[in-house]
Amino acid sequence: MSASIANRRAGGTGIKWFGALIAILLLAFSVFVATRTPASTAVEPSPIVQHVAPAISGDTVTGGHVALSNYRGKFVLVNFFASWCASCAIEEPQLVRFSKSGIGKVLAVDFQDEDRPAIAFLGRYGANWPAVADPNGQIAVKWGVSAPPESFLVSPSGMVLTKIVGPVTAKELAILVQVAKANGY
Amino acid sequence: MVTSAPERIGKVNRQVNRQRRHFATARALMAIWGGIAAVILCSFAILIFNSATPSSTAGRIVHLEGEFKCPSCIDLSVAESSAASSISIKTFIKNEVAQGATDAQIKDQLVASYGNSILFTPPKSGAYLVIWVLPFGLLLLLGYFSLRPILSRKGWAQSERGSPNDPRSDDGTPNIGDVSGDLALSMIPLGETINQPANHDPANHDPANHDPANHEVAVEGAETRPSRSSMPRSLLALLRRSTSTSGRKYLAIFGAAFCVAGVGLGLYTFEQSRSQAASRALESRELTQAIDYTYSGQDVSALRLLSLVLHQDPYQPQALAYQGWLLFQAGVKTKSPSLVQKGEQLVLDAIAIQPRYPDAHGFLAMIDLYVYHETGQAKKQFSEFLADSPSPTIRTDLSAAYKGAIAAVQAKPATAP
Repeated sequence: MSASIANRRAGGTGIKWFGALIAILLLAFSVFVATRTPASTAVEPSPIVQHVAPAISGDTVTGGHVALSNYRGKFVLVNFFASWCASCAIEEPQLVRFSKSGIGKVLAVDFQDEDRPAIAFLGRYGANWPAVADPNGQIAVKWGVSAPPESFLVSPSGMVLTKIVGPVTAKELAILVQVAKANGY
Repeated sequence: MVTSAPERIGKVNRQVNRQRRHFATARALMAIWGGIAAVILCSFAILIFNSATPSSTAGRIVHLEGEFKCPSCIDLSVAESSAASSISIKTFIKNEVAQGATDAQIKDQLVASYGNSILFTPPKSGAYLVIWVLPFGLLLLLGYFSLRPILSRKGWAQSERGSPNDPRSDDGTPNIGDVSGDLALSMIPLGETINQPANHDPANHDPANHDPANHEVAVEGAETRPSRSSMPRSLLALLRRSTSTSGRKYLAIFGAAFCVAGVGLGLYTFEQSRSQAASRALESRELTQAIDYTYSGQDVSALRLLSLVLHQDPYQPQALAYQGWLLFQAGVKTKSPSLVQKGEQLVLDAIAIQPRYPDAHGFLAMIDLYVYHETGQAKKQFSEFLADSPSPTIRTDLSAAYKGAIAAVQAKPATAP
């Protein structure tokens, strides 16, 4: 009996060790997963960066017509905004400073908004650049915009250099343009 | 040693009871696995039913809306969300369907704009395939190891005659397990040892049979020898045997693999917890991506990502060093003293925070050469860079640049910007 029990115990111990090993591995895996950045909040690089900018052509909120292709040869900041967006109000004075500095042009896209509030919003900050109306958000979908404010720096040759999520400052934009110039864009 | 009949009956009864409990557990185990298999089959059936594209246009639009994730929400599909971005995507899907685009075309367009993160379920290709296959693989593996002795005829045969390594099972011992229950007990002649050979063959009069331990072997054989009708009942006994015989090598292989993986994960986790915010950020996606961008010449994108990292942690030394290096380079190219100075200051800040960060020393060596033409100071910084074990890629890149810069300075000293 004792030999058999010993034999069985050896088997039982094996199973216990195996179970304990699995438990330790699960614990280690849980710790590993828990210390990772949640996939839902991870920032994925925009697929359109370093590619030709998607076309923008349409009526502005003031009734004119504008196209991104008109800006070839200049650095352009394509800025997606909305009058209902609180962060856009924080960003707008910085964009005005950037525009006035002459470093680059701003082309705004009014995302899921109405013309009248958008005109009032731009007027409040003295923003005098054209704003393309995008009431259904179809331009935003082509640019992969999630929520305003989001901006894209476009090179003089029409390539998207970087995507900026959230409010941007005039100083940061100036540095980005300077670095882009230094890299031959 | 001679065992009296009542003792033997009591012993066998206790063992039979224990065996019954084991059989009950085995049945429960079988029921659980059956349940898991049923759930998986039902899930597959539902999945196949749901993944079929509806024939009506409205149904197709609703189905597509469920395929994409709301870009500004957490774990919500476009169909479930009323966020502005989801409404835009809903409109986009509706327009594309109306224009005759296929589901694949719509999917490709959205992935081209937003990346794979727009997909509500990960793609079933490339590295993402692991996410789909791994759970089922592990489940199958577990199921296989649990049920292997039953599925294996060899294992079953071994279980019927006992362990192949156990000579006591094949020694001609009267086998009370060949018949079950009370009948087995009634076959044991009173006053005789249980393991006495039935045929009284002199060849079987092995002294080992008189070993007190062997008196109980036959009883043990009765305990572990199942009848044909109780095939599932033998699961636990077979599992035990598998762990003590042929299954041991499988357990050893998988155990070793799991140990290696566990140790790796453990070390990684330990390293993660040991480091401060700086090294955690180093591992972060943004910083790694920014460094990749720096070395692939995408300075603007790199700078933007570095700004994001520094926004989260203004004293992140790697981000400071790389931002400083990029600004310095831009300053040299555009002949901007303010940018050069700012770049140098950021690299110095990085060294002040993490004195043994090799890349920062490498950058400072280059700055010393370009700005101050101080070969002595540059050599000192570069020695520190090499001493602090930089990554091979950075070592190669910076070493080449350093040699070129040294040669240029020695050939023609220039003025500081």
